[in-house]
Amino acid sequence: MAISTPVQRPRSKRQADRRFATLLMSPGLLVILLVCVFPLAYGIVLSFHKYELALQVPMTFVGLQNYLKVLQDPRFWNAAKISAFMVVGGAAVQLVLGFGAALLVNDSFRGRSAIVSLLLIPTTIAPVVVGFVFRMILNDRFGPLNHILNLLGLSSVPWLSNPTAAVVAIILANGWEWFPFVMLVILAGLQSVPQELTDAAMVDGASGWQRFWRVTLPLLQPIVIVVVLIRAIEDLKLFDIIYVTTGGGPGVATQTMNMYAYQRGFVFFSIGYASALSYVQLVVTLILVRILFSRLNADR
Amino acid sequence: MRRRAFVVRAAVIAVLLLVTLFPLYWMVLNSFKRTGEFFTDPPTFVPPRLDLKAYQEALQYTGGKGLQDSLIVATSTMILSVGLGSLGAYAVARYKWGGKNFILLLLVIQMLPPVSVALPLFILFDRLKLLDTYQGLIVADTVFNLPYAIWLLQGFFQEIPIEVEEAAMVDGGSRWQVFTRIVLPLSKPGLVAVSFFTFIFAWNEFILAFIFSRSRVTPLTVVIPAMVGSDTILWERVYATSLVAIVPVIILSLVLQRYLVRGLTFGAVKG
Repeated sequence: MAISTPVQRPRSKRQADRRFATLLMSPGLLVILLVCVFPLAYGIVLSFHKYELALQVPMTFVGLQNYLKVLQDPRFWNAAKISAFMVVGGAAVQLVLGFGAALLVNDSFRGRSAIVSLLLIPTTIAPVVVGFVFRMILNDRFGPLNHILNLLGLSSVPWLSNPTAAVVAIILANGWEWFPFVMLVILAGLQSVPQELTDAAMVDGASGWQRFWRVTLPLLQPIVIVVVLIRAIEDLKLFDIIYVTTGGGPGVATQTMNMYAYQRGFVFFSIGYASALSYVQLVVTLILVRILFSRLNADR
Repeated sequence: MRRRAFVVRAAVIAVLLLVTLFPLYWMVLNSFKRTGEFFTDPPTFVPPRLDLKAYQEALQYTGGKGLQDSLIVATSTMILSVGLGSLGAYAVARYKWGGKNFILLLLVIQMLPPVSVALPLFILFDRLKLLDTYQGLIVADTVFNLPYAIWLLQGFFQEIPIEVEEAAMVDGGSRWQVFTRIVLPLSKPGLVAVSFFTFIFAWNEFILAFIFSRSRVTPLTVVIPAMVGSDTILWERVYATSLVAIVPVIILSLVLQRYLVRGLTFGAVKG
């Protein structure tokens, strides 16, 4: 796309500035409008229709019926509950691991940067691959994790065949991939805690534990909330790992809102109903994004 | 007392590293096993043999095509995202195009659940004959990358002192020349970071590739799950292909560590 320099002299510099900026923005904006905004608008239209792609019948307008059906659909509420577990449990696991790891590598010591590099590896791996390796590690009878648990005198956990354990298994696999991200963000936060404050608390006789709970943690609270919200928004979209490890099962035990919308849309091809489902999820996401933005604005 | 604290910390770090690296080891280990050696009680923790047979076969069969398609899709997505993204980012950074709300809107797009876009896009792509084509997948990947590219790059552009650009304008440079000859060369770290990130995003992306591909365009993330669909699963090939999919990215991220850190924490942490 060629961008021409303005030939005729514009009336004012500001006007020329604006025209130049619009020119710069237009190719990207065009892509976003065509491939995201337009499909989203079309998705709303679809969600007001009964549209069974597999049945070869034309779509019929049904108004808000799909949305009413969503609200009365026990499968949807089950999926919403599982999504909530995954998001809350996932945030808790990632926060505890990430915060712990950040505290461990906060001071400088020899080999610190090498350790941080190694800890960051999981975040760069394709989630599909993460799913496959955990599927084998968590194998009920032959997996190494249960073998190690047995060696420690603990009993085997039916990771992928028990409904509750399967949710935990996915939280763990996803947590393995993303705790390093939380670590990085918390680490940046820890580095910004003024040394004078912790020193002053030490002079006042506060123990290390007290300094952490009374000084460091309150200062880090805003960044903790932000990182938890970011992870919640991301984990609500979680698909790859679930698809590969349990496929939503056993039964529908790990079928999140996202998986359910996918199944309705791309397995049963109920396009209208799946659109409505995905819009409900979108609204939930927007609420979380809205909270995130207000937190970000509060900080700055 | 000091010494004990040191030992405890070293031990905890060692456990953390073990937990982080064990799944990687398990993948490598499994790429050396053969049928009948995967599901044993107790599991085998040591490679029964060291050979590259699984890797050769992986590349010979669907893995080779997967690698090729992953490279094509990820590289094209990267070029498009960085190209369009840097143009847009400069409009936002220097000319405040669209104001503050526009930036927020971009972030919202980044955070949308892919299914809600993929579903209508699937219908549209179907009608436009864009399913199972490179163009379709690349453009879909780009749209989920572009907001991030614009957002990250405008941060880098804003770090350039405006005086540098004004001086160039006074010397008779056009706006376009200032952008291409002054701003872009000065923003090399930003361009590297964003290139790296958009590449990894498209390389690791699964749901869009999975939904939009059939048989002609099959990146590695689509190839790997497809290997498990059949009756006899060659697990060594699954893990060899998985390693083909992750090792390049791991090496890149170790080399470009500082960009990785900046790209990951951007947004959550200022700058």
